[in-house]
Amino acid sequence: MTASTLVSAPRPTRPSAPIGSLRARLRNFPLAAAVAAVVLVFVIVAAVWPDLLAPGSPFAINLSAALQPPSPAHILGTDESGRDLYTRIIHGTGQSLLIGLGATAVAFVVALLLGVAAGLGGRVADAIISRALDVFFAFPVLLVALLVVAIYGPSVTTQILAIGIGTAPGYARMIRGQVLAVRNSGYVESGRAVGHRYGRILRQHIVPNALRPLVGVFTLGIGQSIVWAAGLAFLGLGVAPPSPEWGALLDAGRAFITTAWWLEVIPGIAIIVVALSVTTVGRYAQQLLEGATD
Amino acid sequence: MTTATIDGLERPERSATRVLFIVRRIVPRMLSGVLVLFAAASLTFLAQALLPGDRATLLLNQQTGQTIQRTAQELAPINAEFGFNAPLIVQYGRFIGGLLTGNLGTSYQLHKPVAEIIGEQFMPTLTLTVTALLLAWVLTIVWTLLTARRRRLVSTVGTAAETIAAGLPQYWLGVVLLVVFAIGLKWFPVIGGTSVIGLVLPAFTLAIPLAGFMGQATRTEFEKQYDQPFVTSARMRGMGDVQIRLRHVLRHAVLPGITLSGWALGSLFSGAVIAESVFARPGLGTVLLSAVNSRDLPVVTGIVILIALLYVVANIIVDIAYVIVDPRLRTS
Repeated sequence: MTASTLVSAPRPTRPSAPIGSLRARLRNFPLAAAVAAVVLVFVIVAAVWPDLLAPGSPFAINLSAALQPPSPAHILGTDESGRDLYTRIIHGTGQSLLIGLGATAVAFVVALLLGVAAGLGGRVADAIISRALDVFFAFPVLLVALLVVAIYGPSVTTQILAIGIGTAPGYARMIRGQVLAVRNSGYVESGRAVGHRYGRILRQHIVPNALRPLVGVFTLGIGQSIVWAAGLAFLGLGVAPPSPEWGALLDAGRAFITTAWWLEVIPGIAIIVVALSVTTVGRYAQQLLEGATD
Repeated sequence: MTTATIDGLERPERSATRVLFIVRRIVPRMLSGVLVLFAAASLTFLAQALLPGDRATLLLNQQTGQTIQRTAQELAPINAEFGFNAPLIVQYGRFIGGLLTGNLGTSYQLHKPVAEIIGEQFMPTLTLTVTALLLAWVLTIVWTLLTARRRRLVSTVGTAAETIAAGLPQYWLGVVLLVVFAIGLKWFPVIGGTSVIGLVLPAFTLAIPLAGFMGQATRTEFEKQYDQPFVTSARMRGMGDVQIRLRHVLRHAVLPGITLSGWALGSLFSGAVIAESVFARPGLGTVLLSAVNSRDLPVVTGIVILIALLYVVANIIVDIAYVIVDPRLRTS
């Protein structure tokens, strides 16, 4: 719903900015985006080299240290088997990011097919696809996701598919608008007037100009997908415990809400912080790509 | 005559134009609503038909908790009960025909009509979602009035709070509210059931993120309208700032939020799955979750269609509310 408001009219491709303006851009780099970027670097390191940040095993059981609240020994506390929550969150980062990335990729593939077909396929195709998207809008993301899980049964693959399909209609509508705007733009018309072939216009003008703003949207989508995926896992329909994946941590922590709040609250904070950072960086990338900060 | 048109509205004809306008606006919406419902029903049927594997086998295995091949004799009564043997087009006809008469099929698990299951659990969820929607509106309006177009610090805090609220996942917010207010402070029961006091935390769980989301739209519109000439003109007539905010600016600013409300109600209904799950509250969300877990598709389908229906109805109500709030629509 918000997605459609995020993208403004496309601009023609400009030559890349000279170095001087890059420095000016860095000076204008907003604090929020800077903080978010630092968080994301940390998250990527955690995803790729978890042992660098948390050398222990996320499955190391120590029953004498079970259900301990955050303390200097275990900065984020321990779970019912004495596993260190900090280590588990760091080691779960990779899988959580992959699920978010996968779901967004699924959404974009579906959305691109639908959006481009509607934008370039002529009146009838556009009418049919646009109507179908309207119908899909009657369904909240979570509901579509639950329907997909009900059909294919709970698993990680289903989780990715479910979130991808649930979030696709929003992107599809946006891509359609984008493609239409570019198709009707002056530079496409002049390309046609000069006598370029359709394939060349598509490759040189329509694809790059319609897709460029989507880089930012894709980034925003990853943040949302992580949140949704963890929601499914929270309901017991995603990655199952004892995996340290964040959604699975939420699922496992539910049994201990009354006795060990940190098992539920802290993985949730990790999810929110990552989602907020991804969103902030995504918005900034979007502004840059659309030239709004110049 | 002159008194009637002095404020630009023709008073004597007002109610007649309003009714006519609502009819002209609503009828096409109802038709397209029926279309949405029909398409939704068809899509969910298709979803059921696309289920991988033989449905009768799946059903029997789920009921007994086994995964084995079934003999034809075992499957025959199930195929007869649910009509799985008929060609798809016949099944589709039966399904749509059933919907028209309010028959949503039979649950695979409970062997009860889906309509009956939904009917039993509908009220607690409706209470929760409507309360949450109203609560979200109260939060949005109060917050906008207090923080939009104030001193820079206040406005910044207002915007930041909205962004954070809009980004809070319901499952996390619900747990935090539960831990702080039910377990820590003991103000509310941990398991609320359907009592009024037990409604408070689940309603806030759903309302706060929604209020953040609606608040962003309301604030943008509020700030835009606050700079309009009619505000200056009202100020010149000697109207106080509070009056201007309440009587002039707010009226414009609520419009985007009203548009969002139709969508929000459907979204809250699915959010109820999470709120009911966190607070162990009975309702449709709980039914839906257990149906998804046991792959009881008729129940899932029934609830999906119900939410589509709610969405359509809510959007028609939104359209009527629009005409009431925005008099410009009546004169055009």
